[in-house]
Amino acid sequence: MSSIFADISQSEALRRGRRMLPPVVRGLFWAAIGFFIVNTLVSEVLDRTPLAPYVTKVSVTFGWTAATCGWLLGVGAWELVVKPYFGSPVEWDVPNDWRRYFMMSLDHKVVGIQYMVTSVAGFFIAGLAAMLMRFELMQGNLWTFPTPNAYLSTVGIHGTIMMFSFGTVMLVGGFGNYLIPLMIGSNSSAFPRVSAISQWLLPVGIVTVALSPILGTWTTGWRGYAPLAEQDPNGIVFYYLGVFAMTTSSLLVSINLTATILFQRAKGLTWNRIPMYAWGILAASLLNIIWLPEIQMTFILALLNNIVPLPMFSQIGTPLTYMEVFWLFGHPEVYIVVVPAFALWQEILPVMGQKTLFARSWGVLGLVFVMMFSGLVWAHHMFTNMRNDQMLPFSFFTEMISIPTGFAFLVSLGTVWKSRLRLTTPTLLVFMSMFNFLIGGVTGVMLADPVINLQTHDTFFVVGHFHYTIIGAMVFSFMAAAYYWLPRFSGRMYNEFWGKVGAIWVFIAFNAVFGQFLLIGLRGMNRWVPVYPKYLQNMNFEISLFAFLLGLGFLFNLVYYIWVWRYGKRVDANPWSAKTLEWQSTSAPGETNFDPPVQVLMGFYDYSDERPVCKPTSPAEVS
Amino acid sequence: MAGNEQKHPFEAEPWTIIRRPAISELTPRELRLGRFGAALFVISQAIPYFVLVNVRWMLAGSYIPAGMNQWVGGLLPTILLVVGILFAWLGVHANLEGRKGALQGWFTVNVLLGVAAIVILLVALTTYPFNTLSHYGSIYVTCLGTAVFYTIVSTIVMLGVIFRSAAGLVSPRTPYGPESAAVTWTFNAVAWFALYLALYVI
Repeated sequence: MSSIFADISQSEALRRGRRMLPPVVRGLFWAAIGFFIVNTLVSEVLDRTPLAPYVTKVSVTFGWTAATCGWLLGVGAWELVVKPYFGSPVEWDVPNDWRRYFMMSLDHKVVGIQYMVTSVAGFFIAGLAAMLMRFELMQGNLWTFPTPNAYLSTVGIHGTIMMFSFGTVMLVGGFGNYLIPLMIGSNSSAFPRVSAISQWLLPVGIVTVALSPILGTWTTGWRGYAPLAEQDPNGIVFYYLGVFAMTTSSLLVSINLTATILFQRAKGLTWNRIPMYAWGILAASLLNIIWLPEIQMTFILALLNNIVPLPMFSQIGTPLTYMEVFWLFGHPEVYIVVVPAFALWQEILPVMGQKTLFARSWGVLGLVFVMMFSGLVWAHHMFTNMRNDQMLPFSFFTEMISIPTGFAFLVSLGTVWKSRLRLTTPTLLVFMSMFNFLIGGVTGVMLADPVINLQTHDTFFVVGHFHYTIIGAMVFSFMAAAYYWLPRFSGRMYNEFWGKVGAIWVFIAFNAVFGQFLLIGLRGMNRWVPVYPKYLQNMNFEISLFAFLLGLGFLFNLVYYIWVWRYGKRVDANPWSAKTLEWQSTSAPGETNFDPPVQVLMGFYDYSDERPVCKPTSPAEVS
Repeated sequence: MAGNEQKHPFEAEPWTIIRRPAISELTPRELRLGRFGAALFVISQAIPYFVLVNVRWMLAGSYIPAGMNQWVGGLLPTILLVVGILFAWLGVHANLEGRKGALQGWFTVNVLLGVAAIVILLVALTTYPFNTLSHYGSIYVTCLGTAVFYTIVSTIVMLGVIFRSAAGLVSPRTPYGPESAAVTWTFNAVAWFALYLALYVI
């Protein structure tokens, strides 16, 4: 029996259908047509203003919406979503080669790889922006960018793409889509069409934000502050639209993965056996489902300020109102990024130590309580705008959230204690991630204290702190996961020497950059400005050199990873002797994960028990 | 199949060709999954309305303008959408009893109600008697714009069920389509009712 949800990706061996344009080409074509028609209609007919340019704030908003719809329909939503919704049969031919990655797919593994590649592309685009910023800051005067606004646009592009296309996405949309169905013993995600659509919104968002300076510079950074944004040229419109596309992508994938974890589990995979990474994804997804719609509505209000225009957050409400609704989302966003990273520590270390996960239930509780507390700390971003008595509860909860965070450390360290730990590249990267987050956490507790917060507000100390938490924890955990699951993705194994070279390279460069951010911040280096006093130049010059080294380190890891994926040494199906279910299947993209379905017999983290964790079962049996 | 046995596990068949009816029978578990997904979606989409309803800071010091037409943009779309809740669930009930014609009939009425509500809201959006730069004006056009968007979505969702029903793809054993359409409609109607109270009554 088939269903409209999970089994739709199961193939039937029928003849190949009619040929059409390659979906990505068709998507670009339909997007161009949509933009041209709707932009022309709005700017030249419905909202015509004498002497106004062809592309206006209003017309580009509607034109972008039409282009996005055209793009989604062109890459496959027309055949996979729209026509079936109105009663036509699903007809979609998927070549099982490289071309399947350039079209809408219902295979969760293909979607996962599409997400990973797009997200990594976003990481390097944002990284390039960071390199340009550091190049500018090598001197204390404006010498690389033509105007301060151009510098600020680059800062905004860096932060926006890094947060919304990589930090929020890589571990959820990328690894989550690929691995979660495998880890819970399912052959599909719950709503494959939802993830298929969401993936193709991500490149829309990245390209929109990256190209925003075409419409004019914007000065607000990744936070899109209103009413400041009203002073900006049209580029800020593309900021709001691009973020809307990327957050919609994350929202849809979160709904899908939440339903997948709750409903698609194999028989025997009870709540107390759910893998740690699935717990992390569940917690992050619930945060996404609550907070992303909140920031989307806030950004729509700010967008209306620009295109109608309306006077919200200035005559109506105040700038402080915008800050409140932004940071109400903004701080949970940090935990959306790092909670899956905590889960990765607890996923990788028991495997590498071949030792039972220490205090597993406390690890789960830590993830859940971090998720719950994350909505109670947001105002520490606004201490400079608050009365002293208002600061106290937020200061308290910000310090308290370090307790459930500490659970992740204790569970990880307890697992390593007296284990036969293999110091592989993933292990090393997990330890690096823990060290970095420790620095980020300690400086976070310091910033929770209003006295320090007010002194260091808007200095590089804060920039160093949040880069330690986000890059330090999430990016290093992502790299650990990437090397850990590389044999699962590609069937090939990296070389430990070169893996460790890559890990140590980025670790040294990262700490040299962001450790000095903390110090230079304490010496008075401010954010948001491309010029600074002469006494800060030597340190800035040196930081920039290490930043370039860091950029090259990430590039080295990427090139090496791709090389291993293509030419690395072939390896057995389960080289780490891991117990989780993704290692019990060798299915590649385009293949069924578990045929027949499996029944889980025990938890995945008890390495003192030699019995198999699962056995084949009949197709209808699920927990 | 010796060749297949020797095939490396990371190589796939050359083509996956997906040919499926648009919808087929659902197991009880799949129905629960669909309901859960719809509930998650509704919860996520309720949050923007919380932001909009929680605009007391915006409405502070404002008042309902004297020349305001209480019907256009206010009572009429509210009545149309709220009445549609009843028709939507009558359609769901008819489908469960195997009365395909009744399902299509009730849902067609709802599509007409939705189109009427959209037209009236658009009229209200173009004929309001106040400045959009005022407190009330800004909130008013924002809320009505949101209502138009979600009413268009819920009307299209209804329309899709009618088409699928006509193609023979909706039956008592596939109740999810009508049910999710009714949930979407109900959500939109209730959310708009909350906005209506905030704009016109409170």
